[in-house]
Amino acid sequence: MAIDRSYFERLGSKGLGDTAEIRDQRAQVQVVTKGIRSFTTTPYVFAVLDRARSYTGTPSNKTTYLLLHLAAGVDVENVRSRLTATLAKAEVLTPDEFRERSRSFWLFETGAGAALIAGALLGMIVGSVIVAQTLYSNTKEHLNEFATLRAIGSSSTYIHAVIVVQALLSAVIGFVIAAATGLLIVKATADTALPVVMTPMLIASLFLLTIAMCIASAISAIIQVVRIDPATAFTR
Amino acid sequence: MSDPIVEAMNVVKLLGEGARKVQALKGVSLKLTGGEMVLLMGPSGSGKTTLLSVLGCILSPNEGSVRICGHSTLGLRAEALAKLRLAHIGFVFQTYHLFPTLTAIDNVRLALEVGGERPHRAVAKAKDALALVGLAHKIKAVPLELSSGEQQRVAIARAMVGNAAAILADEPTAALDNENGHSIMSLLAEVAKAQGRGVLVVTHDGRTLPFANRVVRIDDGRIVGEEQCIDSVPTEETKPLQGP
Repeated sequence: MAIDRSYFERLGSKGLGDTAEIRDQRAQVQVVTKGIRSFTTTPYVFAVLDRARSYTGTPSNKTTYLLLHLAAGVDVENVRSRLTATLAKAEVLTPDEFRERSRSFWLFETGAGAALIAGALLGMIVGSVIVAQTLYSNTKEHLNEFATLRAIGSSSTYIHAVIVVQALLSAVIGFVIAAATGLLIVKATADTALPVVMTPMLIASLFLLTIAMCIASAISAIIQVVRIDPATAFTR
Repeated sequence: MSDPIVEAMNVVKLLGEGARKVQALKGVSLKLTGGEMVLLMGPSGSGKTTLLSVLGCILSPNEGSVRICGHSTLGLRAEALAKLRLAHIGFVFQTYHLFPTLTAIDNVRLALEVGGERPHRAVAKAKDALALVGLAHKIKAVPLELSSGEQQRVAIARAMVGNAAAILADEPTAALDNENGHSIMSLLAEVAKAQGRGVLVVTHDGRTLPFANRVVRIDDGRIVGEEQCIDSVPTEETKPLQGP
């Protein structure tokens, strides 16, 4: 059989050549993979088909999944429609559809996905509130300076730009810290059963999201500044 | 006589709301022309600062009219008034209102950058303005590293740097000792005389009288007197300022 090195501890295996028992049958680790892991807590074990049937007690006329490799140039849709017509109870999926199905299942139909989405939403809300609060307090603390700017003829656009630049600075600084922490986590989990993956596209998307959140957070500060009366520059 | 830079005609200004509403200005007329230094004097609550705010396009009059360099402020909205201030008016405040974390040169150039001046040109002009007020050697100092008099000089440089035709100063000597107060008034008198700007100083400080070309007295929201001064006292050893 073949198992992934990240599952040695969980399966109680010492690695290549080690023997184990599956449903009272002797099995030997003959291949060790790296990075082939299950998203669930149950490890994958690979075996040739007849042994796999034997280990799992699956009769030879039963199959859960079949993986088809098509020759180059074959029309996928044509094969799919013929298979669907032939195998009435089977569902035929392309790799992309299968990937999307799995992702959708884990994200939207399990507690794990709900927890992940709720955590992300909470992070966005808390992050936005913290940035908004910081910008609001900072603006309130410097209302006199903003009033002076207004008195000396600054346009409201300039003042808004000052606040937006502060928001962007918060976004960049916060993102750099978070990205650095994230990359450390990526590195630390790379060889575990549940590695965290951060693609360049994900990083770019998160950066844009952070920018958008911080600019939206600047609105409360901007509303406060809009109300400034430049006449206060004479009364303090 | 040259055209007035700032002109207020029969200005009425109400302040406060509801039962607390008061008529702070009751039909005030005043002109400020280039090259003159005018003192606006009166007791506390007489309407000095309100008049300064109206003349500086910070407050809009309820009645009457204000013209700045020929432009009427009637019906202008906040953004248009801000543009007018930026183009024609420089302010000097009692407590300077410098930005504490910015250096002297940054404080001065900010007045240009809010109007869209390019940074390198703003820096050059700010340097010149600071040199004119005698602070060429302190351009990198932050306000905390400057004396009160020096801070007020930076504020004057900030008011002058955009070539404002009128400088409006609100009690510019109130927070200064005798020597610094004298020095600041000398500087403002020079700004008026050598650069042809109109300088209006709100004050109740009698020590400033010798610097004025004209003294306007206000009480209870009305102009109650006006005196032409034959010759304003010039200045100590401040270097003559060059025109813009």
